[in-house]
Amino acid sequence: MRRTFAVALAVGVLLLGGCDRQPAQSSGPPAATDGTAPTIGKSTRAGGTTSAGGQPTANGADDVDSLLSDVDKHLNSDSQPTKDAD
Amino acid sequence: MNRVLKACAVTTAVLGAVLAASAPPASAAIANGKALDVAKQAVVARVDLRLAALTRFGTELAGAKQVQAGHRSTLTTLINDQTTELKALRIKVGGETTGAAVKADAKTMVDDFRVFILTGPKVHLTAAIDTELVVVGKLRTHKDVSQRKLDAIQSSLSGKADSLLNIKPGPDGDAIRAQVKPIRDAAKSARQQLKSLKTA
Repeated sequence: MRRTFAVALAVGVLLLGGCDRQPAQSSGPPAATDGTAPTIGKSTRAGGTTSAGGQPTANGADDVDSLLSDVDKHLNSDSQPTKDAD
Repeated sequence: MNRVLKACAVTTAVLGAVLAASAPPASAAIANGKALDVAKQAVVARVDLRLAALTRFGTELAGAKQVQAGHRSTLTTLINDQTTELKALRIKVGGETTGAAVKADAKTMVDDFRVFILTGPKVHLTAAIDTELVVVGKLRTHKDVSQRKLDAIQSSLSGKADSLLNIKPGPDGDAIRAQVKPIRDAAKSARQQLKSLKTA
């Protein structure tokens, strides 16, 4: 009887300790479920013409070095070997 | 009587041999089935490589902030459409019952999409060119930068992204590569020139 009571007390302590835990990931971003390619929404970024005389509108905070670094990144991605013969 | 029995036995044996020879052996049928499964798995794996690449291109496009709105719309539609169609092709491959059909699907996977030699360059080179045009615009305000050189760079890039986006996939991979190459070269050349102007 005494042993049964001790076991019940221990279980109760464990359960009560677990109830105090914070809920996990209550505001985290949703994770991808099956690895499928996401459908990309159309961007409505303002500005941008292709005429030779017009200049596309850009964020004033980007400096030239940062933009050239972006160009390097895009060209580097282009030069990567392909995963399969095409 | 013995002769009759002997004749019946011989006839039965011959008939049995003929029937056995005309029916495909069980082991060969199993081998054919396994070969078809292997072929299907190989094509599905290649489709999956393309789907993964399209996912990657979508992420890269989302991160390329300087892509012009019209180009972004075209690329987004392209990536989404190819993803949908390749997923459908993947299902089709899984249901094929002949090696010839699997082979035809593999050809479709390459010729109708050209994910690696065309879609990828469309995303990367359009992003590079549009960003370079933004750089040209910014350098216009620099008094120590030659406006004539900026005009030349802008002219070299003008219309290149649109031309690239108009290239269609097809059976002639070499022709596609030949169309993409000058656009790639123009983007690389502009990059070098902009760098030299910036550091001059």
